[in-house]
Amino acid sequence: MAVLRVLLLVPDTGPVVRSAAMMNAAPTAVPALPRGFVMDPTFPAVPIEPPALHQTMVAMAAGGVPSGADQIGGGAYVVRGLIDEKDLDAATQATMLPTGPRIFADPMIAGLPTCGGDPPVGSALDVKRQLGTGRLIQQHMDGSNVALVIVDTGINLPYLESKGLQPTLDTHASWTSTPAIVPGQGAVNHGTMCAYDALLTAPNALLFDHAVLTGGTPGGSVMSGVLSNALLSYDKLRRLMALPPDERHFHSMVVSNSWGMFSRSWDFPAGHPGRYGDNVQHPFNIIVATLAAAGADILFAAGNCGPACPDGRCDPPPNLPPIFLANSHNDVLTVAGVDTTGAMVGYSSLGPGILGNQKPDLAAYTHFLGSEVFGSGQPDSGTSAACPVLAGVLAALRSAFPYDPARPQRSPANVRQFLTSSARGSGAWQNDWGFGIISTQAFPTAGSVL
Amino acid sequence: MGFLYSLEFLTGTPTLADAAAQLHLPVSALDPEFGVVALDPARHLFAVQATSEPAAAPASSDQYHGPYANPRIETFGPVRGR
Repeated sequence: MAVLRVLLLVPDTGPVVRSAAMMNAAPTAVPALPRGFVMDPTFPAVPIEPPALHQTMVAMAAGGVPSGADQIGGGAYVVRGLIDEKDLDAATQATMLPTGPRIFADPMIAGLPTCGGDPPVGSALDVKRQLGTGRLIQQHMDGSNVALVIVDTGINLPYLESKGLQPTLDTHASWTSTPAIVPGQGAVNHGTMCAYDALLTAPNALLFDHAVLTGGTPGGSVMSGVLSNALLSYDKLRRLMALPPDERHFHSMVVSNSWGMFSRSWDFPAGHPGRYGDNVQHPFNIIVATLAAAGADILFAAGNCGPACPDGRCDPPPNLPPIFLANSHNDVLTVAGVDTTGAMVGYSSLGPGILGNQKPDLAAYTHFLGSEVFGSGQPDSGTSAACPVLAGVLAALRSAFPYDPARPQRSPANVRQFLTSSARGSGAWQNDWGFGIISTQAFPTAGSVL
Repeated sequence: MGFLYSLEFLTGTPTLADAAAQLHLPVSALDPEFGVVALDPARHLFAVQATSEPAAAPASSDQYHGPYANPRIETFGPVRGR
């Protein structure tokens, strides 16, 4: 049997309760407490007017008679406590007397989560403050010599510069699915938002613009693509990582992916051996593993199909898609979303994952006023924003602890382990934010494990 | 949008014609822009994209696997309402 939190409405039956209320404290004794009720000593007795008395007072007030509503002791008091579920029926029967106490539920309540269409919660400055960006930069954790790959719709460098950033882009290491898009000259869109968010913590990283989601997909938006484009992008990244260190101008690579599928219907039918969503043998899932084995840190957004307010493109409840596809791959860091107050955003997809069980791994900040790519005052939102925020943090870490195949403690898997173990959370995995919210507090001592 | 095949090729990197022969497909059924992509060089695994209908494509064998889905993908933001 469970222990229930309850509220007890106690008639004004004595000076002990009345004086406790005046002292803003819990009463030391309450007459006629139901059997099994354990009073919460931290909850002060709260004066309240029972409905019948309140109605009488309203009637009196209407007749011009002073109500005395502000006087403590005019009606009853609420105290809080616990009761074992097995004692509830008896306690309820015992509190049915007209002049006795009454028992009420004290259910868990929560504020409404941040959803799509809601205004921003905090700003990029709040994100930087939460992540200790200034402290990291002082410690030379700024993304230097790290390739920060934005696999998305394309990046617009002039827009980033108009926002006060000074990004460096490697056009030769970039890739686009159509020659109509020049790296760094893409439309001001989702990919530019992702680059902005990644640069918050890694301003000196070297951007690679991999414009995979360039539209023109049947049934898709201007921010859509097909998976084979991503496969070609990853092929280029794999070849770059295979270059000898003296032939490349980065020592580490962080790959940010804020995309996926909203519906299972986009995949082959259930049970087909060629499906993407739940199949480690799918060519894209194979190349993800290959790129991770080559030393790249790969991050994927968890998805926007959280039950509180899923994106309209998700399979409808109760069939909301789980964290699936490469977004749940064992070799990637799967990123959930929290707002700048640390509360889960309602659209962040819940785990567990399909390919890897304990997904998401971590949560990072989203839904803040940042790039304003989608209009003045519009937030950088979705797990789309959380993913590059965390990618930037990882790039900052890598600038001080480069990938080195001769040092297995710096493998992508070990770095993920370091990040999850230093997260702000309970230490145990949960299906909403994984192991907690990304924290950089332990970065100065990361050398002991990396 | 086509669909994907993976194949094992033990003697170097296959050409598109090599891949087509291994898949028992005409070269014209493979996407030349996609070409041949090394999925995992250590395991001699490669991928090609076929343009013909799945119904006309061969089933998986020891030498290749597929067809695999090549689904539409989209960005996870901004969040849309229902």
